[in-house]
Amino acid sequence: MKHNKILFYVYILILLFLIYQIEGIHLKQEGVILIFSAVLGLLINYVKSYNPTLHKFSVVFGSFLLVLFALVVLETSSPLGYLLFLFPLTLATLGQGIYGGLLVYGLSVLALYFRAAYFGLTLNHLVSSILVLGLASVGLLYYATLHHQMIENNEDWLEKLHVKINEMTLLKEVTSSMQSALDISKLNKIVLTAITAGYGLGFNRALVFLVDGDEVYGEYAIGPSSRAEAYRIWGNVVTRQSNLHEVIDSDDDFDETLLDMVKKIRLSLEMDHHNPIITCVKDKTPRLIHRGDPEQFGPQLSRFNFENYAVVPMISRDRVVGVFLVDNRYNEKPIKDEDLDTLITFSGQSALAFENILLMERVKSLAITDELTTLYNHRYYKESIGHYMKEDIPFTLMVIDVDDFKQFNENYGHAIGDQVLQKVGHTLKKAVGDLGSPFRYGGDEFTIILPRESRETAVIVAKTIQEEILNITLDTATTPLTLSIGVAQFPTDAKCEKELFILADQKLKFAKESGKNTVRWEVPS
Amino acid sequence: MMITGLSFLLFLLAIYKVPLFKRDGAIERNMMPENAEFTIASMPFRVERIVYYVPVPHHTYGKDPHLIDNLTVEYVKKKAFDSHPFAIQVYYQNGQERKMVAEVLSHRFDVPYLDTLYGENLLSKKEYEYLRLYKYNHPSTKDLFKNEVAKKLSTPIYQMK
Repeated sequence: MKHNKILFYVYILILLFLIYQIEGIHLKQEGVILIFSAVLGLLINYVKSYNPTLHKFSVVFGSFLLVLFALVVLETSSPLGYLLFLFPLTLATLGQGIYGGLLVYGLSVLALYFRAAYFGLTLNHLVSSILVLGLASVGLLYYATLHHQMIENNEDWLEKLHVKINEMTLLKEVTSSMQSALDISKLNKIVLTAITAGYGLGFNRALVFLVDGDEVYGEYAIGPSSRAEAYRIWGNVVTRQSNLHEVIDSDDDFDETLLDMVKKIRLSLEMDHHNPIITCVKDKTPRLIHRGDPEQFGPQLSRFNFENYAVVPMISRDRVVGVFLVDNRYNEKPIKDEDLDTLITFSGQSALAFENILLMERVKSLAITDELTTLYNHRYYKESIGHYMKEDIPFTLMVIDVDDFKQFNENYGHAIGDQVLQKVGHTLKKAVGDLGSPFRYGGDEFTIILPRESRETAVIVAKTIQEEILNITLDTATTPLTLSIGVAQFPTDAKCEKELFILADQKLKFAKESGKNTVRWEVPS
Repeated sequence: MMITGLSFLLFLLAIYKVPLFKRDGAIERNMMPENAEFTIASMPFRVERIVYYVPVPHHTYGKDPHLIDNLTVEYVKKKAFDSHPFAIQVYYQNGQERKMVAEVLSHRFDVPYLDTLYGENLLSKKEYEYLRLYKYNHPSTKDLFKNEVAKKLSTPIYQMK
């Protein structure tokens, strides 16, 4: 590049030197052209700065004016003087293409005609000038057309290349993030952040649905509530964060209404055959819809007006794991086939990630769940109690035992014994609710941990459990089912796990000895 | 003809090569809202639109202690007489070795703050497009671009997380 510039300046210098040798310097006569060109140059530079859309036009018009002015000043009688029109002709052809070239050629012919008509020019001279300019124009236009076509093709390919490289970079970054996700909520955010605007594929709204047996349920959604909100959030993403990880870790206030609504959605695969989400799962086929009917999404989703959207299945090992639903509601950018193609590639990666996380969560859940009662198991009880003690979180521990469980087994068989344990487990879950977690400690013994709850609340929960248990009916057993419960508190009653459990267990024994179906919670003296 | 030839050359230099008018002040007064968070110079752009033609981070360029000095930013025009460049390219030059390392096209150059202003109806579509291209052509973009490329070339991936 640098060598080319030097060569160019050397070439110009040689050219000027040769002209000087032939004609010398006529500053008096031609100085006015120099001033005129400087004024025109300044004006065009101003246009370039303040109104760039008029720049090309001003260049062509200005160069034509300059040539006219030069011809008038020089009053040239040289037959080659009119070749100066090649100057605007070249600029017009290179700047504006065929039409620019033709227009300037037309104007040059008019100027020649005007000169011939009013200032005298032989017909021979006029025709030969028009012909020379015409031939030069044809050559220039041919070159400009080829050049233009080549540039357009290159630009088109270059843009496609950039889009693909950007996508691959994003996919690489997202895949590495997905591999580090340990829970589904993190994965949701990674996947949808990568799909939506600000960072990644740039869709305005994205929803993810997962398939569970015969049902499809709403899992997560990202999307602003208004156009202004959308632009504000996308702006913040770039202003404040620099990479995907920071974007994922940020807490931008996306539309909670959309997320809340999506999380409530459960669709039956057997029911709604017109719903695009169901159709996508069943056909395993992505769809790009223009001017669709938002009502087809059902009453919960129809209020979000999905009209121009794409639905893409996440397929792993020939099984549909879930579905993406995306649109560009706020910037109204049309979703093209290429966008759908990218989304399909992305959905394949996401499907694997979702399948892995769901599998991992299932294995994790199995590892901490008691199969018979579906309560948490002994292992998770130990983990939980250890966690609360380590973090110094106060809690109340309840130790629960089924009264005369041995007799249930002996009198009615082990099947009824299992039924007792299942029903007790179900009752404990229901009674505790969000206050804490029930566990199967072992055999017919259960525990409940109520973090940050008082002894009084624990006693109320215990009484509720006992009342609920009395309502349980068993298939063949007629003996009423009752529970004895012992309550102890951390850190008030004991500071280590073993001591706390022994204390609660002692109270349980007192409850048994004092006639069963009793709660003992007294503070140790 | 000597002076006429020089006049034509002067004309070409004046219209294409010499940036005579500094527009930042006028543009910020006339187009940007009064309480704008950014000036044209400080506005960030979407760096993930930059395409790298070498692996990032780069095991050789990234360890060069004079990396910033060895990076040069160049504007590329589609046609010689275009008023706006269509690509910004960053080259790494060390001795005889010269390699294009990164590029961003004007079509894919996004300034999210302008998106925000446009989204809030504080800019018209025409003003938005004008400012976007103006920012693309602005000297600050050169510096931001160069620093971003240097950062990507030299920062190990695990530190970016």
